[in-house]
Amino acid sequence: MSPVIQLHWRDWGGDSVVFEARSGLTQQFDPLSAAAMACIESGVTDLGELSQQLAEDLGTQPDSTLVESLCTLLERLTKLGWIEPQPLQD
Amino acid sequence: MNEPSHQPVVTDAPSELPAAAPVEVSSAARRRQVLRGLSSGAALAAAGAPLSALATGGRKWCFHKDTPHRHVKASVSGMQSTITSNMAVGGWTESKGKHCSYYHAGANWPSDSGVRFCRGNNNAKFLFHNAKFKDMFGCFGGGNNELLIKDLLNKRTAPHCHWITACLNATKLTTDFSYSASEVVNLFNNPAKNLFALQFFRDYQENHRS
Repeated sequence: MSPVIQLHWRDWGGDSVVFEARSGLTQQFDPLSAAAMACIESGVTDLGELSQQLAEDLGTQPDSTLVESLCTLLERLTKLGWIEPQPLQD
Repeated sequence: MNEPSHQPVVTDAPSELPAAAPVEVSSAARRRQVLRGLSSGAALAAAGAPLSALATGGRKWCFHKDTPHRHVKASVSGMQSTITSNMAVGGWTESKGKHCSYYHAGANWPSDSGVRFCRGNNNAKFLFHNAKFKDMFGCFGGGNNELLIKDLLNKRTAPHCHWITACLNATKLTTDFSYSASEVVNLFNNPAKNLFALQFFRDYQENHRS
């Protein structure tokens, strides 16, 4: 997760809205994306772990549809500058 | 990373934050809990839509006419806030407002099937040849408010010409401009914001002459 962003969340039922203070940008998140952000904020940095945790929340197993959705989400978050790719470890 | 705050704050500019709001104990836990209440199919279907930006105005930048090297947020409340390189990552674009002289030539006005117009009050169309300022801005008549917008523009009657230019920019540039025409009109009619908005449109949003 980018060290410079400052997120402020507000949740109503299934809807979550987040304000990023540095950019002044407000986004509305669907439940899966909002939960994925919760995992990322708690320190999850690996796609496999992210999909595993979210699949457990959904009471299912991680499958290609879930992983594909998460890849799309991560791509969008990268474009927003909210997350950054981690360098590969030796 | 910075510890995310879970105080509920929803706005498009820090200066407009609500003074008080109920505190969410743990937004992260709540978001996970919401997901647990959904089926996999419902969660994935909702995730197919792009993230919705609720405050697009905050993602544009502009510059003061005297300091073109300093990029600031393109909004009335953000014009004092410099854009940093970190923020540029989020896909900020310039709100390239035209100078009022650009619209002296009628050919530069927005047109629909050859009919030149400008959007104004309630985003309605007002025609080049007969629109009066008071009609386009939904305000009282009298004085310069009674005059045609094309005449006010060509005579550079201030401040009217800057407000008209803002509406023309909003009409011509649509979402590439900082505000819609109806938002420009609302700022004009808001006594608390009128002067700041005029400064913004005149000094930050008339930087391009062609």
